[in-house]
Amino acid sequence: MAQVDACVVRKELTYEEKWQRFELGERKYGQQYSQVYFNRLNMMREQLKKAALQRWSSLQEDSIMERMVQAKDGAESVVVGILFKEMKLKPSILQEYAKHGAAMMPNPPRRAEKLYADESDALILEDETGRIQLEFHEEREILKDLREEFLVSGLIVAVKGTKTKKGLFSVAGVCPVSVLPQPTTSISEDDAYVCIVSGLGFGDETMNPLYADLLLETLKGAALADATENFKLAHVIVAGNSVCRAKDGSDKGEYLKSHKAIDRKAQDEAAFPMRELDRFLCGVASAIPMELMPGENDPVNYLLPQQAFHPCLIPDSTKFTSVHRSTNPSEFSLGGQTFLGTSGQNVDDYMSYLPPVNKPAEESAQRLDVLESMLRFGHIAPTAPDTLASYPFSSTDPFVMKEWPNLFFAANQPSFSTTVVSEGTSSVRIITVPSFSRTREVVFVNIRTLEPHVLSIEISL
Amino acid sequence: MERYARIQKTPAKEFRRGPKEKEEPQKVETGYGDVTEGLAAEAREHEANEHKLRMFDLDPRYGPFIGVGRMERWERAQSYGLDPPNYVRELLQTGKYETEGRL
Repeated sequence: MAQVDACVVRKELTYEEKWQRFELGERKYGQQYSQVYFNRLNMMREQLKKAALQRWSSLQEDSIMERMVQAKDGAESVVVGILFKEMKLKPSILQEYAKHGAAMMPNPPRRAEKLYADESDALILEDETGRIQLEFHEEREILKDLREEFLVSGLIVAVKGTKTKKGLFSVAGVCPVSVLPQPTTSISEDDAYVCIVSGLGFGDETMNPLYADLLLETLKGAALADATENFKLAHVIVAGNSVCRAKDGSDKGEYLKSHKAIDRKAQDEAAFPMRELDRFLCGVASAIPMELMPGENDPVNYLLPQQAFHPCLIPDSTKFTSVHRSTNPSEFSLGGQTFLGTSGQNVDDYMSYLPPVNKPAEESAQRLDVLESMLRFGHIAPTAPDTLASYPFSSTDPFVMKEWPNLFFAANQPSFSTTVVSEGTSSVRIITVPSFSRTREVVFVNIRTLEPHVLSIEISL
Repeated sequence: MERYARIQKTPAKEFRRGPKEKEEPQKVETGYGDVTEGLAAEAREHEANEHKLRMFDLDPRYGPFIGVGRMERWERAQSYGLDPPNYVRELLQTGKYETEGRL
């Protein structure tokens, strides 16, 4: 009779979804985007005033102006407002229209073709009462936790300086929100792992399907030799771009060439990626609870926050209760640790504002700096809605961070990199998750220490 | 033959009924004198209240008003601690005034 080994039980983690604020109910598109900026400024204003007082302890309370219009000439004051960076290389819809007129392309290309940073860029601080151009004073304090090139449009900052007679604001220092409270965590004593995968890219004929199959076996726990190690994997996060980009030319700004109803064969071809994804997810979901986040290439809405996959798109996987379909960006807590992550569009868009980097090592360092900057400025997607498409919210801005997570990740990045951002007693682990279809790597995070390591899948035939 | 007599009504001075409220928006001088002359008292009051609501709409302290309903904008201002005037909420709750935002 066959001997049965001791039964190995997969580790379980307590799960709580916190992404409800990214859900859009009934959508109305009549609002203007000025509402978003008004909400953003008001949501962060009080916090920023406190941060400014803490950073510049020599300030008196009355030098913090309620509104920009109260700043007086020659006296040092602190103003809270939204940054706007005038960049001549940034695509502007008005310039496009002036150039092309009625023959303008209907869709802008999804990814910026050229970077926007230029020497002539000017920074302007705005609030409800006015706007003023910032001039960086020679003797300004060196900003130790942020570099000036990371100041992009849409960030809310407190600026200390003096209004000059020329009508400029001579800046002596810039203060971000710096640190936000973290929810208290009850960390588990055992090691349990969470796997973050992104960019599966199903439906791409050039990709060898063996990689995805091997990944599936690894996640189910069949690939590694040691059974106990396998079953320490408690949760999987599939973070965006699970299908490959549709090949209909929409990324180049062309609509479908013919408007005839597509025939049965074309329909099957179009549905193929989703069926493949469904099959993969069924395999994962049968063994392990998982989170499914949408990404740029997925069949969900284009504007951020992207809504969860519709259950009809992945009918077989949805039957499993272990599949949690969440939004992008998404926030949830696993085993007491709060995870906040996006499928990468926010980081990619922020990168367009920064000066170019040539080496891959420098690029991944810059992407980590972008994530750190988002944490310090307290906003997940500051460039939305300017260059990053987002829904026109009227009474809130859900991308404003009210508290720091324990782990902040951005998926579909060119390579894996990680660091820890800490301020006082709070510390956040930031991770850039590589895209599986490009690098064949997935990230495993130990829930107890939040240390990540990379699993790379290789096939040698 | 019927004769039409012109009835001269006394120009209205104050529209308010009841106790005087603390915060009032500035009365806008239209330059045409009292534009509500000739209307019934109830319509006059309605017009005055509409004027107060329009002044609330235009107030920059509470943010842009295009595309947001008046009640939503009031509640939003309240949650940000901007202290919007209470009479606006009371007027909107009576249900006689336009609550949806303009696009």
